[in-house]
Amino acid sequence: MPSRDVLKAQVVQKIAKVAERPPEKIREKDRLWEDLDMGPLLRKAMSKPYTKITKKYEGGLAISMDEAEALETVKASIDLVTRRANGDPQ
Amino acid sequence: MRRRLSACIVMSLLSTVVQGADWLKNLKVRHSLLDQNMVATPATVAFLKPQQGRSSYNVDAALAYNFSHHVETFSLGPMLELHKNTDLDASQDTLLAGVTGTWLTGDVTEGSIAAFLDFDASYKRDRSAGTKGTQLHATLTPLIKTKHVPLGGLLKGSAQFKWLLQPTVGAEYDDVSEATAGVPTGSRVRAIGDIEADFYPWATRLSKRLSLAVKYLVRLDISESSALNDQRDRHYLRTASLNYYFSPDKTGSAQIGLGLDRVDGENPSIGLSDQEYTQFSFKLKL
Repeated sequence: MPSRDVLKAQVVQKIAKVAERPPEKIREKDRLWEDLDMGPLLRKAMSKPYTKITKKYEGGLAISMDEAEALETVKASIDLVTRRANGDPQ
Repeated sequence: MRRRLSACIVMSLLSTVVQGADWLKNLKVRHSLLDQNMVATPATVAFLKPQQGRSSYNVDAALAYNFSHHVETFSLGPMLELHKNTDLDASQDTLLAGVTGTWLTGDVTEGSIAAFLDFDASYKRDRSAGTKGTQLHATLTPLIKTKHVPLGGLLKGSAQFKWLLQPTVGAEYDDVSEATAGVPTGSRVRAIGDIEADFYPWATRLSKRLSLAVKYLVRLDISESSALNDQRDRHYLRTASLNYYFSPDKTGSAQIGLGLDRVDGENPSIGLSDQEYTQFSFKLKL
């Protein structure tokens, strides 16, 4: 069972890469649109890198494009990846 | 073309995701699914009651349900789209019903390009034109990582002024199999080219609540049945929308704002005939 802290580092790394910021400048409370400038299509396209993280773990589930697009904050992204990496479909 | 500045109440329905029950999470509500990769354009319902003359309304709404919600690169499901406007000189009454899907290729965190391939196959009924038939629509929307031009879905610019560019290309097959007396039947193949530019003045200070969205849509008839050949092969639609929302976007709460929309041109994909109008409206985004 991957811990939230382990997954947080990976999610922040992915977000930092597309938001063109250093990972240490990304905070959990940052809003993907208002603070990090990530438009709806870019958020939607994050389904693939997020799923690459979740599928690394046994029983990990995919994150759909609609789910990724609906994410509003870094915290929400970490929480969703944590749930799916631990096999929680909700 | 009639030019009108009208005041009306616009209810913008859910633009991307409805929170709540599981089935609602897989329901998408948009202005249209044929331009779904434009920066979220909410569905609209407007009603106009002038002091003189008859009242009118318009609806631009598209619903899609995603059955493949446990897949990260593919979505597929039924769709229903309605465009009806009784207020225009040339009224619009188009229904599209069928299936819609999206395929994502590429990883935005690894390569310099990723792309969405969207496709729709639908029954099309256009009461204004008096036609029924089938429409197949496929578009490619790329996310291209560049240093200065915001083509990758990430806003660029300074804290005071940010902007985003979103191009789309594609093709469409529009077949008219039934028509009222005197209206020709046949098929057309159109090339599609759309570009949207979104500007956010005072982006940091206003949390992107003020925006100007400018869109330019082109449809070129590249092949058509002789009966449909009307010598008008180029169709342009230019729109500009200035919106200001009073509160920031928050999950579970509505955003209320004001908007000024300018529409000039036509879009045969959704049965929108050539027109030009300006509309001032209240906006509500959930």
